[in-house]
Amino acid sequence: MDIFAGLINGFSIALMGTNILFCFLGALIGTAIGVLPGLGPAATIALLLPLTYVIGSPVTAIIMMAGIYYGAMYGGSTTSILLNLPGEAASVVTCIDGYQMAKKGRAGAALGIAAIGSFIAGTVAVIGLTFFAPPLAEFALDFGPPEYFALTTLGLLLAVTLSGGSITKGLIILIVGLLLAMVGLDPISGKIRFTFGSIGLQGGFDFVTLAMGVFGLGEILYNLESTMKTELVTRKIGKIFPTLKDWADSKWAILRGSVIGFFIGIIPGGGSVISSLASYAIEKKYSKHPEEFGQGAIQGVAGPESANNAASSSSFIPLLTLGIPGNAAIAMIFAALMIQGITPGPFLVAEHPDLFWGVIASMYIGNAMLLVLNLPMVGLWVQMLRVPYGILAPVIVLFTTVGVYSVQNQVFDIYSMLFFAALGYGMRKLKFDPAPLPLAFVLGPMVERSLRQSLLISGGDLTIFVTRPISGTLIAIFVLLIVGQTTFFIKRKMRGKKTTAT
Amino acid sequence: MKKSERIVAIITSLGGVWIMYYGWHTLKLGSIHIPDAGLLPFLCGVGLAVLGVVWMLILQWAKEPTHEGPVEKRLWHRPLLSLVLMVLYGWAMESVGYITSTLIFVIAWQKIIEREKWLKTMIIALIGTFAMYALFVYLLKVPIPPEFFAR
Amino acid sequence: MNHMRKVTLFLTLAMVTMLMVGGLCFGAEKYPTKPIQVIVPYSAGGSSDLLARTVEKIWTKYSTQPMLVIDKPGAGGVQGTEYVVRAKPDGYTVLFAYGSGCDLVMPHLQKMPYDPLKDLAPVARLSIHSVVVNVSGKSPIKSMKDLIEYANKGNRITAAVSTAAGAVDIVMRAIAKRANIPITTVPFAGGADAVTALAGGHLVIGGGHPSEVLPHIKAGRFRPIGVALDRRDGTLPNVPTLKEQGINVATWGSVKGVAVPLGTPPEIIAYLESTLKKVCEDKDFKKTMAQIGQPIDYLNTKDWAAFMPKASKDYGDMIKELGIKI
Repeated sequence: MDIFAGLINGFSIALMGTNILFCFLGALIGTAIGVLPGLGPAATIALLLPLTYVIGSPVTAIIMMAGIYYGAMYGGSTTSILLNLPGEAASVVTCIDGYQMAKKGRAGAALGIAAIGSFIAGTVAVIGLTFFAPPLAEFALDFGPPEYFALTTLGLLLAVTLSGGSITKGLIILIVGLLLAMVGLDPISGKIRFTFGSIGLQGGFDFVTLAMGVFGLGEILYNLESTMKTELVTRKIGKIFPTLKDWADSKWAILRGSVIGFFIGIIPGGGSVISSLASYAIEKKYSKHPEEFGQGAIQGVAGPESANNAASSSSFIPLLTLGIPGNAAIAMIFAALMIQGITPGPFLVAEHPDLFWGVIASMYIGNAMLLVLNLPMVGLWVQMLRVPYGILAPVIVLFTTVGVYSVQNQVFDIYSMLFFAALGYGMRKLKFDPAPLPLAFVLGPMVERSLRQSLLISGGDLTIFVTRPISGTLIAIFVLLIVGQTTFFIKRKMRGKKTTAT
Repeated sequence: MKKSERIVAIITSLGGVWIMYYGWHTLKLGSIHIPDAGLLPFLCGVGLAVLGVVWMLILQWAKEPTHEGPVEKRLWHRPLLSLVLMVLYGWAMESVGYITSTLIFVIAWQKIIEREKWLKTMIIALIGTFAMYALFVYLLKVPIPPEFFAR
Repeated sequence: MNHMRKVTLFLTLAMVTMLMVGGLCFGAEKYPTKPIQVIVPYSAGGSSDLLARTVEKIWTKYSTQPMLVIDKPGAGGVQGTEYVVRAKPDGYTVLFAYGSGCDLVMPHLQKMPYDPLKDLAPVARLSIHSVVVNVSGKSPIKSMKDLIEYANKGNRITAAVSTAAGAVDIVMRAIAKRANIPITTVPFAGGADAVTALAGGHLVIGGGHPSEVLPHIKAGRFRPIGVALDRRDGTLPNVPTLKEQGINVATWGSVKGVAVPLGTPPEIIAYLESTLKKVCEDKDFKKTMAQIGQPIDYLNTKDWAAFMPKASKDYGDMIKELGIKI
């Protein structure tokens, strides 16, 4: 079937009464769980799976689940900006500048630009999904261990530059992140590392516990220090909507974020977390005012929030065209399809065109619904800042506890979140910038795994990284970046010396 | 401030040395061609050990920062108390169940951390617990640990 | 005044508790009187989770109370299993996927916080997920014989496996030993990752359970060349076993059964067993299971109880023979 005929057919399905209703429900639930810290789309889809038996029609069920997934990306920014508490794993970096913006009374602008960026990115990604799904899926399969190694090492290099302030402290945090990710079972050798005999640690730390602990609870502990009765941290609310200048500042960040998110979302294992981190790093690297990052730069909100939305839509590409679930939430949608008796894969378009095009068309509608749903909510969310901190703080604790518990249904995760809270508190006390920590934690295991897998595949031959086209190109970029950075650094030093000499 | 930083820097270096030993002795390094589980931890250990020393040197050379503006009074016991409360809450959730532990946790927080009056404490605790239960258990059906009295 | 506050506190506590109990209703009614918690010790969306949810869908046809699937992943299944081991033996906490790697393979390699064979009461077996050896659809290799020839020509054979010292890894190492060809096993972070890497053609062969590889076999991206079971797999009847091809390798793959905490009353076990039997004989269940690529291999309580120690011993012998250590 022709793409346009398919799309028209898809819209005729997505615009049917029940499908519109469930698309809206999915978007609504998605926004809600996005706002609720810890509670993620994967766990929610798992909890709602029995509902799909009742719904009956697979198209309707998948439309709702997809809505939950990309809706969560819209909602995730809310608490990140207002409370420094990542609502979703993919919104961790939004905390850094979003929260600073809120502190300066620009919460409304941050929330507004996040919603607009999400809408643009989501739509861009769905257009990409509509027209280029099959060729891009094949491209994604070309990513083997050597390519992952090159890509993730490049990411780690960006992580080094992420840190504001002291380079020494930034590097220490980076290594701490790598080490924390090593806790548990090493998949390559089957050895157990850094567990000290604990069965709980054998599974390793979950990223959500780190995000909630270091960013959300760490901030609460630090704020509790300040006075006997905790005052409001942010009193100013300011303008609700972003100004024209905000828009001009962030339009390129949104577009870059959309493209980065779209491509990272396609790669299995990439997903929205890495795409948002990557977008933030790139925005900071190529900003004319990198010193503004960490102090409330609007690009630091617009870029990552666009990227995670684009990635959430584009991660449907490997699922729908190859039958490969790239991340936990998509794996749940994969399971839902299988239970309905539909095998995702290259034949999906031919065998179930109604499902394929219906879901894609619903994403256009869902994104528009989410914008309409979220923009008016900005004014309401900002009122959250009026709640006295004495009430807000324990409520945040309650929310994060259940949220973290729901990820794996393990009380152990609550304890590991508290460990990370103590770590985050300590980092704030000693003026460590937490920005490199999540990136190192996510990328570290991928770097290690892919390095060792590549060497096992090549039989210990290190040239495997440069002889393959994609990884070779990435390694070349890596080398160029390092050389460029070093010469830049030396030149600046030399110039510095000259000026002091004269 | 400088003193505490110095202590942490020493801990960082010592931790790095221990990780080097752990990676080399317990996990095994393997070779550069086929690395074993210990190689990357070992390298991280080297990094920490070196960075800890660098940090100490920087502290040695850096001038003591002059205080700007009035010094804010900071209390370290409140974060500590709240952390203890949270650990107890996590433990209680499993042993006595969600509702009871949540109710007690909110009451304890309002009394110990915020020093609220009883009436306000009880109102916040009751509304909070009820709202949490309605949202997570009733609406979202999160499988929280079952209540002790209802088991 | 203070006294009154205490009364308020007591009353509210009592009310809240009542609220909880209200839904559960006490009485001497027959089991089950409330939803049954089914613990899957693996992550949501995996093959064990999929099996549990397929049973959940049919279960309500034959039982008055629904199943409630709860995934408790962590530590390769140990954490979820331990939760069931320590749960109250009242029949409301049931373990699914009993017989997977953490029950049959892990005890031979590391210390466990419980005895997987002695600390759980078996109920029934539902399915066996065999290990299927695949090559890329574009590969010239069409059978195990081709693979051995390919290796003897001096080509390196790399094999994608889901995890080190797991069921798939063991099969690959056993093939290497029995067919006397060198195979480098490359572990990935789970079955899905290993399958994706083979689909990209980055390795020569790969192993996986039928439910993981069936979509790719249908799409022609994978070609199955052997099943490591002592008989053919119900979901892939056209694929010969390794034994048929002269390679003496047969394992139990990953067994998916049901167990309850030790000390659960026999009438409750009997109820669960008979209901699961009805589910396994259900037409819709058979249809869905075929679609998701999981064969139905039902065993009743008695046979299932006898099967587990035997399967565990088979794995133990093989691990010893191959000299696998972690």
